[in-house]
Amino acid sequence: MRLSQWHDAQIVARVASPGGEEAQYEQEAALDQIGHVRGPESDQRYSLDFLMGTFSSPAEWAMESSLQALRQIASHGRWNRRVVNCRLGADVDELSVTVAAALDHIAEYGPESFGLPRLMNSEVQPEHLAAVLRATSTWRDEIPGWHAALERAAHALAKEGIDPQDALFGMI
Amino acid sequence: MTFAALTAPVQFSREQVAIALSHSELGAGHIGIAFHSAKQGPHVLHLAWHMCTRLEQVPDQLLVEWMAEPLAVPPTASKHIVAVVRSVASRGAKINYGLNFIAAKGSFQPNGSYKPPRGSDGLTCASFVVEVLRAASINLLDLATWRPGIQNEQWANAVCAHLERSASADHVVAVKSSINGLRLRPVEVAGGAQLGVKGWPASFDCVQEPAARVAMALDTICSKQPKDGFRAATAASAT
Repeated sequence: MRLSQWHDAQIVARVASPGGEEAQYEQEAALDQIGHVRGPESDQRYSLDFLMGTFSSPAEWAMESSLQALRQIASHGRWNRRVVNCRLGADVDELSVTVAAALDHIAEYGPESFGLPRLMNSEVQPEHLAAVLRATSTWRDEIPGWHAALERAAHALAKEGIDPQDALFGMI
Repeated sequence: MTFAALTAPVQFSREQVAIALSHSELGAGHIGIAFHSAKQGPHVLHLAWHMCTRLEQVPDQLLVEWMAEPLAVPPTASKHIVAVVRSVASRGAKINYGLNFIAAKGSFQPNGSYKPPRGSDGLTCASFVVEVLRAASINLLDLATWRPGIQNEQWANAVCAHLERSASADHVVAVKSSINGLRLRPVEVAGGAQLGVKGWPASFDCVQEPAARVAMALDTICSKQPKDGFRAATAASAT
């Protein structure tokens, strides 16, 4: 992520993924006050945690906290938007990109941050969801909503004419 | 399907992983997982030695002769397993070489992190393959059914002698304390894979017959070049 502009009360950050895609997020931050971050797609409001003593000024740690939150949102988005893109192909190379993004997120932020419950109200690309579930099955009891997502995947696969006993082999 | 020499063109598709074996100086073979990378063709991923995970391009980077057989899993799941194995291979995990495969269960995670549970001294090439597949929800073997053997203690002592040249003293002590006559032989992993989905997780008794056939195939298909390959692996881990 790199900071591209800084106005008086606005942070504009561009996030580049390894595949070259870029996303832009804007965050209003009052430099002398505790701020919040809003997710660009969900508009979900996230509070910020501050590490006292790490920074020399409130503005500095507000800035860093915003960036950390935005990085985590961006990381989540890299796999999530592929799982909810019903037009995305399911060849092994596309699936590999999704799996890598999911595992990158867990490596950086841990399984508790994986955010599967948000998929429950979205259309999903069933094979990409199945691949993510397989890749994250090690943490099935730590990822919130993993088991519900597995049921969701089974229904979505069947709806697409894909045998769940095949795609979810070993998990059901 | 049966084992075939691992040469170009390989006998498994981009949507499959294959169980790959070569000879080993320590006997009973050496095992890895073969797959197609996204852009650079087929590779073999294997735990060559202590803290030495290798990813070798087929055929140019192979240090020894290998044979391979596609892992017979349902086709859609097979694509997803390839995706997981590719991700594992890209992360270059540093893994201790150790003998206690029972305690090592679940120690390897597909995001590349290696977190040995209490009592685990590491993985061998065989338990590495089992754990990578377990991380992809493929449970090949029922390791609780494995039985000890005196010949396995001889193998374990040979492993420790080699480890003394390349691992820390603390690690060698930990591995020596794990010697209990149990061993997960690479040919047993390959034999268990051959039993297919209806035979998984396979018990110790069930894998012995296919393991013997795999050992015979290895002698037939691959020339014995374990010393050069093994010395190359240990030299790499010692530097």
